[in-house]
Amino acid sequence: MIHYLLTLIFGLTSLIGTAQIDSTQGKFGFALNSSLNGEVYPIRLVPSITYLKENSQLELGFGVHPFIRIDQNIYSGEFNYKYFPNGTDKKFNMYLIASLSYIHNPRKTYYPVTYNYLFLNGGYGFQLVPFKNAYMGTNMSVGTFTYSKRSEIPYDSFAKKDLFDKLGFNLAFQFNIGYRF
Amino acid sequence: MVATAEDVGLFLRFLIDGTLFNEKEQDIYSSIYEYGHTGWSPGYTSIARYNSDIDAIIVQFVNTSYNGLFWVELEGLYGRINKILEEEN
Repeated sequence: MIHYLLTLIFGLTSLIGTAQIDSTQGKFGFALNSSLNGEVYPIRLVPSITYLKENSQLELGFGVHPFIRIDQNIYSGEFNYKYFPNGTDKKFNMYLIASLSYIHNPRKTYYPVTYNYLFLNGGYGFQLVPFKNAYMGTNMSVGTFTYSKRSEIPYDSFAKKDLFDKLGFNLAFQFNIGYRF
Repeated sequence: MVATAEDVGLFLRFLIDGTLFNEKEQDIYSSIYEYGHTGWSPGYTSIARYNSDIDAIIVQFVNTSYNGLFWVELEGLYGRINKILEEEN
């Protein structure tokens, strides 16, 4: 019996330990993205929290526009996934990006209106590393978007639109700077 | 019959604001068709739509036609005109 228990315990120890040291710990950081797409003006500034693990980076940010359009507000929640096929250690690193954005956009137009957009884009970009842990980069992406609309217009046909009533094509650009701890 | 840009704009305005239709006819029209017009024939292209945010009918007549890519350019141009007018309102 004692041999059986020792064998069992010895066998189970492999499940509580790691055979190799995990040297690829994730790195948190922050980034400032500026986003521009063909649908929503002007450029949005998106402070983001980033997390890099191996060749993948996740970014979660909250965006606002820089207040140059007084007739509208733009608030956005943006989630980016970047994959660096060749890693992030070189001076020049290319990446693929998938981006999901939600944008809340009330406008004080002739008939006040509120738009809510959903964007889903994919694209590619590159990063330059001027010094250790810091980076600056750009990317372009294409994708699709949909929106809901609530307007105070008196004509029923233009007063309301729901998400996924209509899908559109979208082209977007980003510039960003960031730092990884 | 010849229609100027102004004629097209007025027609679209009356189509939208109920001048041409009664309420029931308006509902039927809204359920089967759009409030706007795009036209393309050799040597001529046109886009006319209603921008509900700024309450403006924007009519674009172009005395050129080419291919599908040219149409994309025209749509891009039309979009920029919309953005300019939205910024000015």
